Amino acid sequence: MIVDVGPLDKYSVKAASAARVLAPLGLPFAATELLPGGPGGSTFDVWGVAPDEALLIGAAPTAPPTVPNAIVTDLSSGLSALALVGPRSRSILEELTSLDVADRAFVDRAIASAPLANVRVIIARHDLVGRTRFVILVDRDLAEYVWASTLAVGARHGLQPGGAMVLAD
Amino acid sequence: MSFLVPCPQCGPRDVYEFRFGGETLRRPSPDATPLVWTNYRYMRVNRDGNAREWWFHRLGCRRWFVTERDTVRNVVSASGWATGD
Amino acid sequence: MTDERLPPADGEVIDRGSRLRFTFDGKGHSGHPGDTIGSALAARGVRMLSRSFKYHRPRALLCCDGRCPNCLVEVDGIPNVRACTAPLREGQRVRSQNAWPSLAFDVLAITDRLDRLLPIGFYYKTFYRPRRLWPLYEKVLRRVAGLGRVDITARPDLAPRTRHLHCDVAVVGGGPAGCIAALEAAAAGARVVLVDDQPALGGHLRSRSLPVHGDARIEGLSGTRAAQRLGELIAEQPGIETLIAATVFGIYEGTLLGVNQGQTVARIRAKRIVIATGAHERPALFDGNDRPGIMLGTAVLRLARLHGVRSGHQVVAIVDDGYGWSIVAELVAARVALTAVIDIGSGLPTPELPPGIEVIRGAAILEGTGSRRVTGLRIRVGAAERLVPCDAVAVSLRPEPATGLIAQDGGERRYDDRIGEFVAARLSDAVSVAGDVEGIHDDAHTMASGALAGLEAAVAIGLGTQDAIAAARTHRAACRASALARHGRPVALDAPGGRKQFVCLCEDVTVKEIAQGIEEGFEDLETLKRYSTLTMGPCQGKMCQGLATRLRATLTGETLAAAKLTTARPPFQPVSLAALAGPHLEPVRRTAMHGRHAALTDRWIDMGDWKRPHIYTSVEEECRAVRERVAIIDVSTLGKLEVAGADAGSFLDWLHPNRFSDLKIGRVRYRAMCDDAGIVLDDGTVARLGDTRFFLSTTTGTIDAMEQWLTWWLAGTDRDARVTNVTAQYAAVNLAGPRSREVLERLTETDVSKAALPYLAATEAPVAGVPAIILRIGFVGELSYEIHVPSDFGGYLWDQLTAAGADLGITPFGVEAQRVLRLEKQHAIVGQDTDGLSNPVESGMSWLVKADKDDFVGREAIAAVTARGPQQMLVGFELPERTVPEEGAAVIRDGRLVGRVTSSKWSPYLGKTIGMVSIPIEQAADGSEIEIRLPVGTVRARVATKPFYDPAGLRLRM
Repeated sequence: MIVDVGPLDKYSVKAASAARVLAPLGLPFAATELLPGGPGGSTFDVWGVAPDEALLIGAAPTAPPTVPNAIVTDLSSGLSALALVGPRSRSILEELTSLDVADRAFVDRAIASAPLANVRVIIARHDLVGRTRFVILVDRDLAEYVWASTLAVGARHGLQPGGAMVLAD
Repeated sequence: MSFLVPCPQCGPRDVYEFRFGGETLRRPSPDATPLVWTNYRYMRVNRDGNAREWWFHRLGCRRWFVTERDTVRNVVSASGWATGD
Repeated sequence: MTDERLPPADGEVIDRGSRLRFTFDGKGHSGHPGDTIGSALAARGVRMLSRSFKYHRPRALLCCDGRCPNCLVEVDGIPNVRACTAPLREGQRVRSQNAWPSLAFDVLAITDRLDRLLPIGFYYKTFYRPRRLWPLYEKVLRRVAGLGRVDITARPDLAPRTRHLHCDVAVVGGGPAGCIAALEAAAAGARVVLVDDQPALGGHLRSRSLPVHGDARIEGLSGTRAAQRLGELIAEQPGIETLIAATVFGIYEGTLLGVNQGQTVARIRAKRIVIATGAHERPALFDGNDRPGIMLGTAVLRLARLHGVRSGHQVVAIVDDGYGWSIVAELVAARVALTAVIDIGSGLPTPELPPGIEVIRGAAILEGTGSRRVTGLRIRVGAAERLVPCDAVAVSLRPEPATGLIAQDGGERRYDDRIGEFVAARLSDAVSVAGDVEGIHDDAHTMASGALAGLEAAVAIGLGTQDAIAAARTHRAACRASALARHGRPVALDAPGGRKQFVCLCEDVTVKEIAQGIEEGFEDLETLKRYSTLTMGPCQGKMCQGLATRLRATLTGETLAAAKLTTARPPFQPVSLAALAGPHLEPVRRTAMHGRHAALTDRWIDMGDWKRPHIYTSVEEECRAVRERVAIIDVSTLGKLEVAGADAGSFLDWLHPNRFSDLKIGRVRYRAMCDDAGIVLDDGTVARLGDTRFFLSTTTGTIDAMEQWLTWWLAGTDRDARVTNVTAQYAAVNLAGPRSREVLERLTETDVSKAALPYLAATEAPVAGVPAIILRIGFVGELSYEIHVPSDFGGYLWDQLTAAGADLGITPFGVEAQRVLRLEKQHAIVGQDTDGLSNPVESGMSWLVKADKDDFVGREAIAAVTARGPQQMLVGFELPERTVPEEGAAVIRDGRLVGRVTSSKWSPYLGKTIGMVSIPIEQAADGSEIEIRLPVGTVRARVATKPFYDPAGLRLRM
């Protein structure tokens, strides 16, 4: 199943060291991992993208985070989020990306920037109640193309579009 | 061409995920002679052996990094973030 | 129609309970599921399948393995399909190729008798006089050349797929060696991909009925059962992905394998590769060695065991060592009607054979008699000649290792004296070999080497144990020694004589032609290959390379030890271009307002990945709306970068010939950026929205390059500046026209009067309730506002502006109108009016360069140009008539090219042709005349150094 995830607020946090600026805020950071926001009532998941950048992603509406010594840029409109859910997700991804998404190679909460359908995306594995799930962030202007390409390639694997309800527990 | 380039952030990836940024060079000082500037602009060592080069991971993390690559065998032996070169 | 089926037996893959109907050259036939097209036709006694390339000789099944050219047919409109491996399907329409008017009676068979007129390289010798006949020769040869027909109007629904696989160990070849290698590697914990080109695993075991010895897993089982058992073990072993009916067509850099499976191409990244591709029999050399019915021994065996088809009623086998005799034993067990075995030199004792099979030793084979079908073999034993009658021949000479992939990977192949074959001599680090491909044909050795290869591959990547390897090594060494001891001495190549001893069956190259080529001086195999075209046909040397190399060595007196094989290149087997291309995944970028545009127009233009509306109504109407009323264009495609941080301003100073650190908050400035060669890379604007926050725009399509450029200059420095690509974050429109302010005022409470927001001012304020960045800049030369909003609100903003301006006659305008309007103002477009050699001084941008600046990128180069003075200049030109020169048209003077047209349009508003040219500085004075070349003739134009419209720039400062 492929689902358009949203609405999500997304902020890019850039600093010489993302780990150091986020730690005081209780926001755990690892350069290739998706980590849930720490204590202190934070509403964001922290996606580690590079040593100098994290994406803070939270369900809308959120207040823009204040991160001292860092540049925070609102990318809520700029990135679209799609989720690929279900046991055949890997077979479909195998036809769209050269990233190794095998269970042992791309563990739960792993994040990678990689080509998908020939465009750059940020893809995270974030299983939901034991169900395999991949969340894909893509530039908004490419979202429709990525959605359609994924559906086309996934058709023979039984891929269907789904609504937001599917993601609820 | 299908060799792997090890991105310091993303790990080894197919070369086509990257943009090749050329040999690492030292930018001349502003008052260097025109000859030095011409060499900087247009002349390259193009070594057959170990070369230090820039790469940009355009289909991945979108960061610049530097590699040591054996240009004859197309094997990258080392890669890392730039350090004030 | 005869029926050549054998009674049912264990190991056959056909389902006799069901029938599939098909046609061959219009005639109806039938077969069973599990048949190939070739086996079904053979079962019906249809022998001849094609005519050879040059001599149009009748050809029939030879290898039954997808490696030779004899069975190429057209199936349902797809040419060059190998009938011997193509599965039979209901309703297939099969047609023969390369014969006219029919396969049975081919007019061009006459060329077979004209072989003396068609010697090696005949096209270099025969067709060059008289020259006036060349067009005729070309026409005739074009029709005659080639094999299959292509229907260029056909649109088959191919649905190609691409798969990206990753594994630790890739095993090429699913015979006994490959299967065991896969099992050992996976048992040690490796992720394995096993690739085999047959419909089921087991390799040559599938067509064998005698017991197999050498590995506990399948000890004593018949070949068929052993193959099945291996398949079961593979299926049960976790960690093995199996691709069957799949061919590895290439090994590429970075241990990447290309695999073709139907219309799917799988790209496999492995850490280690085990090549277990086996060995293949080759034809024998004698006059008429290509007669229909002369087949490879394994082909006869495969047809009999897998498909239950008789190849003949009087079959003669030709062998030359122990391998051949083992095939004979299998043929007997498969109830093939063997009447004689000709041993041309094994020296081995004759094994136990059923009565009725004559054994002839030490014979030389002179000729295969017959024309449409072999009728006998003329042989010489001692001094006497005799004819051995037969209707089929099973040639089982010692097989050649299939080493093509090894060579592709950069491995070396050399002739091994003891083994008598070309084997792998040096392999690249990641590759190992196992099984019959090593040149030794002994079950125990095959399986021992498979086990060792699998274990070694696992250990090489950190899995498995050293102890297991030691044991495997010892075992394999023992098997190898024992097998070599029994290995026959190589038998010298015999080419007894005759005009039609075929070496290359694909291209009809005979021994006589090769000898002639060598005599003419083409002694090196590579040049001989190119002169004779041998190995250049559909088989790409699989059938003939070994033969050709040996023959050449014999004829030139060179030893085989020194001989080299021709360069192996992918693809190893043909792959369709559609499969290689994969599914059509071409990125398309759409703005947030895409749907709005689609409702209004179907004229689009592609700008990089972007789809932009080209024209809504007409260029004239749209331009008029901009000049006289108010109009709106979607400029979301502009690249946008946020540059922020304490050093952002100085960083921008570094990158540009002008300054930005002194730009006030709430102001916007034009930017043009150069590289260190002084070449203009890009232009756009910079707006300062905060002390440490700048908003940059770039040309549509250059954003990737600009993001890379900026971040490169930051890499490794400690500049406190961060660059974020916000192109997708903002949707943007340009609201332009004398009445644009009125429209904007209706949607915002912020003061946007001329005083509050003058030309080149910038502000952040809500528009239609949505947070927006408003920049007062003009590209088209009118009062205009570039409004950026988060792209989620793009469509909403468009609707609001359209509604607010409805009574003022607001109109959308597209890219074409924008192009004309900006040209009326002589605004250069970087990449259109500049190219890879344009510097700012000679592109009319010298006003940008601040001489009193510190060092910046391009400073030295620009200073040099300024010092020597510009040699050319980018200026405007105009013509009163509607003659629009092509963009790129040459500007000429005294017949020489001195410049070119960079932009050129008809302006409906101004009623004249306008454009921009780059011309020598001495011609660049306002009002001077230049000559522009048209497709036919030239036209004179007038240079204009000031904008054609509103040269004082009053309109955009309103």
